Amino acid sequence: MKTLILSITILFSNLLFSAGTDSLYENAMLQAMEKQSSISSFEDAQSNLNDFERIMNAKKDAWLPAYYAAYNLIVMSFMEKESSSKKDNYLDKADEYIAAATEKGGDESELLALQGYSYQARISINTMVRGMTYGPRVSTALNKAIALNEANPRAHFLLGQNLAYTPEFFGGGMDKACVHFTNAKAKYDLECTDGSLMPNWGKERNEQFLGKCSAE
Amino acid sequence: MKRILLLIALCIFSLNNLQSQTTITGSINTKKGEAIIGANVFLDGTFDGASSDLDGNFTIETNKEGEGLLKISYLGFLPIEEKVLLNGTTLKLQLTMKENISELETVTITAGAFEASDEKKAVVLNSIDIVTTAGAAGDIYGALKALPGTQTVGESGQLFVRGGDSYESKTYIDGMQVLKPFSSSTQDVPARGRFSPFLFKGTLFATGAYSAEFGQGLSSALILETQELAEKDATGISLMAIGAGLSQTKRWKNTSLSAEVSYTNLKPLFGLIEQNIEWNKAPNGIDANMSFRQKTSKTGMLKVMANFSQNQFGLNNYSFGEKNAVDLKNKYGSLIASYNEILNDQWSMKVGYTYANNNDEIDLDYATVDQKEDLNQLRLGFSNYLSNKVTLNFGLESARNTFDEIYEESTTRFESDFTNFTSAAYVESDLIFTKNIVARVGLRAEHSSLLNRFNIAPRISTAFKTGKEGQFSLAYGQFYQNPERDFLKLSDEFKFEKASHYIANYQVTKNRRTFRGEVYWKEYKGLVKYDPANLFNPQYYNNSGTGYSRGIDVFFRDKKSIKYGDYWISYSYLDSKRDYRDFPKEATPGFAPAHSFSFVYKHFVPELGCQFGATYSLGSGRSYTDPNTDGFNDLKAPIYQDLSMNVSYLTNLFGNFTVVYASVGNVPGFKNVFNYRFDNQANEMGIYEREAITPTSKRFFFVGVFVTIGNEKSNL
Repeated sequence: MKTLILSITILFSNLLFSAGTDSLYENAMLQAMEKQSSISSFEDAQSNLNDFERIMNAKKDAWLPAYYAAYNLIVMSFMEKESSSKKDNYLDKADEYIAAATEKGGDESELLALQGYSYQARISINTMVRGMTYGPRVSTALNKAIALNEANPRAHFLLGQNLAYTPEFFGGGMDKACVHFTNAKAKYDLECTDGSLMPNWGKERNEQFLGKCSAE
Repeated sequence: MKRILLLIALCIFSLNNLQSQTTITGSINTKKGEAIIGANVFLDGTFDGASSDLDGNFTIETNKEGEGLLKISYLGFLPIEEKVLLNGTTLKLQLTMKENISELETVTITAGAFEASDEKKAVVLNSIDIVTTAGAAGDIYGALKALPGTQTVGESGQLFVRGGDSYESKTYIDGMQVLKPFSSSTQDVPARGRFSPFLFKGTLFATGAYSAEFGQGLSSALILETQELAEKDATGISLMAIGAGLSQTKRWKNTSLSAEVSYTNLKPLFGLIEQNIEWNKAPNGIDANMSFRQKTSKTGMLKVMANFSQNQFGLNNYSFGEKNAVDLKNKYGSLIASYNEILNDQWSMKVGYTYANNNDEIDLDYATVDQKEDLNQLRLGFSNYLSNKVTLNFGLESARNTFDEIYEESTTRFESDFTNFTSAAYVESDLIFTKNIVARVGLRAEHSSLLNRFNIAPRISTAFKTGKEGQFSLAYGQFYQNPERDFLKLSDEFKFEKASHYIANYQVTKNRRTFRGEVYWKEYKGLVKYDPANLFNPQYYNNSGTGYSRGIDVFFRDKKSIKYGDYWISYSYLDSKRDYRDFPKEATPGFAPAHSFSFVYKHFVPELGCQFGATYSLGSGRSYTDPNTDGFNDLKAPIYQDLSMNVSYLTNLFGNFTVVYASVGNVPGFKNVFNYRFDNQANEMGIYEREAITPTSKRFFFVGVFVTIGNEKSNL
């Protein structure tokens, strides 16, 4: 009898295990996110992008893999040094993923913030030419992200970053930026990151900027 | 019993958990055998996968059994799929991926084309360059004069390309032909472009051999693309030394509307700068522009631009001691509408319509001239993406052009008019052989109702990459144009004028430095010729004129060497002769100097928020005829030189983004003589007197403040 119970237990645990794509998904996501937090080269970012694209493919209804894949593409665009048309290609793909994630019902505030980040990357490709077009798009996207969720630290951080890189005569500058970095810090401190699949990036860079603020 | 149960349990157990694990290893290469690094390899429907390493190798382990689908994807390459049988044995695969040509940087055709774009990749200029070139004074055509292939004809202000007359250049906005793209002017008063450079996001300046989509320009086409949806609500105020302007832009989700009104009057400026012309009425006028944009679907866009302007000036012309008053009044209105939509994966379409009306009233001491001209044009075009290597474009257009002129002297009145319907069709195919070799093959057919003639013009161009940075481009094309309106109003017994272009181009771009060299040969046939002794008799007009242009254009741009600095050098050598109009023999026309040189420098100083610019241009002497000698167009006027400087200061005025702009033309005060003119009657000594054609003033100043009041600032 004992054996029977044991067998049944084994049977069920097996069934449970093989049926658990959700936990597989979670595991895969957590692993990929772990990798993402330590990207140090273009190859890392590319390989991590592949991880998220694989998860996207296996779990088609989830928006987060597309979100993180888009994030990686933006990072790749910043890392690409040689070809500005490659940079644009990465961002084209990133925008495609952001749109897909939005359609899947993803968190609008987070996705708008990421969209703002993508626009910032577009500006960095050719500031003189694109500043006029993408500048307003960045602030529109980020302000909308904040309006939807005041507690989104990434929107505050990116607003700050935007101002930090905008010359003073265009209405930017470090002084104005620091207000947003301080805001962002308060929101980051409230963010619970452990075990959650939700976005949590940006805290360290925000700290770096804040360091510059206090130094000045 | 127990044993049986245990056995069953074990069976199930093994079915589920002790599945055999399959290992898939392999390598991914391009067709040429180069390893693809970072490709994504995965089993469809599972989380199992890997990225290919630095040698293109990958290893995947999976618990899945039975049939599986291995997918491989990499940006810039066509994704591939491979069916695999997963049964515990290790699989070894050799995979090859093909480039997805449409996503990669394919070589672009550069022969005869200067492109300025913000969005497109691999262009030599961007739209800001047009606005910030010193000496251009905010005029698109002024900026083009700093590019190779153009000749400066200062007293005209119009565009002269590669030995071609000004009427041989046509301007298109959103694919539609522009009627009179220049402001109206009289002798020795240079014309300016009618449209502000700020209206456009893309500029393609074709100095030859352009696409079959466009016709009716023997020498060149300037193809302008208007801005998309306005980004945001904004109010703009501009205060200039020559007038003031006000603009208002409103943006809704998928719609934007902008309206702009400006008034210019050069009188105050002329009070400050000594004029070589006696103005009775300084140039003044009002200009209104309205732009409407509607995003009709995810991929559809409707653009409508309406423009109205009224300008006038009056002056006294002193020619050989005789005073003649000239008074000109111009009214211009145009509507340009275009609609683009992608119908499905294969098809896209564009529809365009334009209506334009121009009226010039010229008052002379002894006569009045009233000219009216209008243009209606309708276009329909389709593109079919047959594959990622072949695109087919084709379309139809129909245009109606009417002209009416009334010339009145005290007792006489001449009226001349014409109406011409032009019908045209074009087919053109873009062929991508590999990402390094592309070609464009096209054919354009036109019919003119007035001439009652038909022409077919082939166009072909190709480009091939010679290395990582360099490329060659070759182009050939035939171009037809109706004779100018001044001839058509006299007679309809004309043929088309014709030009054939042959162009070879080499371009290399490396490290934000671009070098371009181009050689060309252009052959003219069927140019209008007439007998100057029988000006008013149409029988003495024919199409027997011929000519040629050949030359070298060189362009070098360097954005790399100087931090915050950017410069370009352009040089054109031109050898052009023609026998047309009243020429007694083949000779170099007065608008075709042999050497043209420009040096354009721009420097940004971030600490000051200032951009400084300087443009130096030099043109060798233009040819002229001295009636006191036997020759024809055998003499050369002095060289032409100009050094223009400008500065733009970007700042904040009461929290609003503001640009302060100032420019000076001819800073050193070169005493320029564009060319010479001779009296048509000899004086009592039997000598034909000479007169220099000079700029309207020695120097030119411009100062303006442009304020943009946006509602974004509160957010910053």
